[in-house]
Amino acid sequence: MRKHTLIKIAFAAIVAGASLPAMAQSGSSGSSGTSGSAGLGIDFAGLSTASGTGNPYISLPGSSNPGRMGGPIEGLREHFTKTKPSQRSSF
Amino acid sequence: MKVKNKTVLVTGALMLASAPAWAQSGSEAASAAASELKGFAAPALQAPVAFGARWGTFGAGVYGQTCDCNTDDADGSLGVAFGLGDPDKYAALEVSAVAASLFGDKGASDGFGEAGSIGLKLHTNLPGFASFAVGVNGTGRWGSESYKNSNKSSVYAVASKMLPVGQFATILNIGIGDEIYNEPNKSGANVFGSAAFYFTQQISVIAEYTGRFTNAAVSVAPFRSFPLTVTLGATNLGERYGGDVEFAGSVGVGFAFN
Repeated sequence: MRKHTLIKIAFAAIVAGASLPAMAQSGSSGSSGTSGSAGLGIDFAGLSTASGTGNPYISLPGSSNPGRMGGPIEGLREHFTKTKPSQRSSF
Repeated sequence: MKVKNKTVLVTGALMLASAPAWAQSGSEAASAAASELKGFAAPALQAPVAFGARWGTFGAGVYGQTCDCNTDDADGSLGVAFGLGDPDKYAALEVSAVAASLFGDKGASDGFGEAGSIGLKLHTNLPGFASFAVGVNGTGRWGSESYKNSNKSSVYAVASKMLPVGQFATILNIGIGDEIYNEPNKSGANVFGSAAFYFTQQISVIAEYTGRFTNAAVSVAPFRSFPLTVTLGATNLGERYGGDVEFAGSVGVGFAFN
C-alpha cells in the first residue's frame, strides 16, 4: 500500500514537473482576446470532449479487470444496473 | 405412500442442487448487463473531470460553439485521447491532442488544423466512486504566434465523485486551475466545478462554472450499448465580459480494447 502511494506521488511529481516550464512561460495570466476564440474555452474544449468530460465510457475498467474501484462512471454503471429494468431507458 | 415420499425427496434434492446455479446465473446476468452498458451521458460541458482514458481505451470528440469571434460566428475544436496505466492500481496518464480553429478560419489567424495543443492528465481512482487528477491543457502548442500567445497552458487539479440520489445519481466535480480556469488577465488560480444530475446513465442535465463562464447543458447517450455521447448547452449564461449567451455542442465517442 505504501509502495502504491509512493508511486502515485512520483507520477504526480512528473506531471507537475512537465507543466512547470509551460507555467513559467505563460508570464502574464489570462487568455483573452487577441486571436479569434481564445479565452472562450473553445480551443481547449476538444481536449475535454475527447476525455472523460464528453466521453465518459473511456474511463471504465475492462471486463478483464476485476476488483476495481472504477471511479465515478463505474459508480453510475453499478447504480443504474441495480435499478429495475423498467426504471432504465432502453434504446 | 413410499413412492410419493421418494418424489418429494428427489424434487427437493434437485431444487437444492440447482440453487447455486440459479444464483450464479443471476450474478452472471447482472455482470453481463453491466458490461453491456457503454452509453453514458456527460458529467460536464467544458470543465475537466478527474477521470479519463486508461490503458486500452481511446476517445475522440468534437466541440463547437457559436461566438462573436470571427466572420463565421462559430468555432470548434477536435480532440483525441488515449490512456497509459491503470487508475485503479496506481494512476493513469491520459494524453490528448486538440486541433483548434476547426470552422473559424475567417477572421482568425489560423485555419482548419493549423493550430492546436496537447493535454496531459494524471488521474487515479479512489474508494467510494471518486477520483482525483492533476493535469495541464494547452501545453506544446502549435500554430500562429497569436494563437500560441493567447491560449496559454492551463494547469489544474480536480476531484470528482458519484453520489446516488434515490434511484437517480449525480456526479459532482470541483477543481482549481489557472489561465483558462481563471479570470482573464488575472494571475493565480480560480475554482471551477460542475454538477451533473443523471436521470438514467444515458441522460444528464449539467450546470458548471469554468472559472470564467457559467454554462448549462443536457447530455444524452443515445445508444445503451454503444459509447456515443452528445451534449448540447448554452455558455456564458451570465453574459460576462460583454459577451452573449452562446450555443454549444459536443459529440464524443470512445473505444475500449481492454
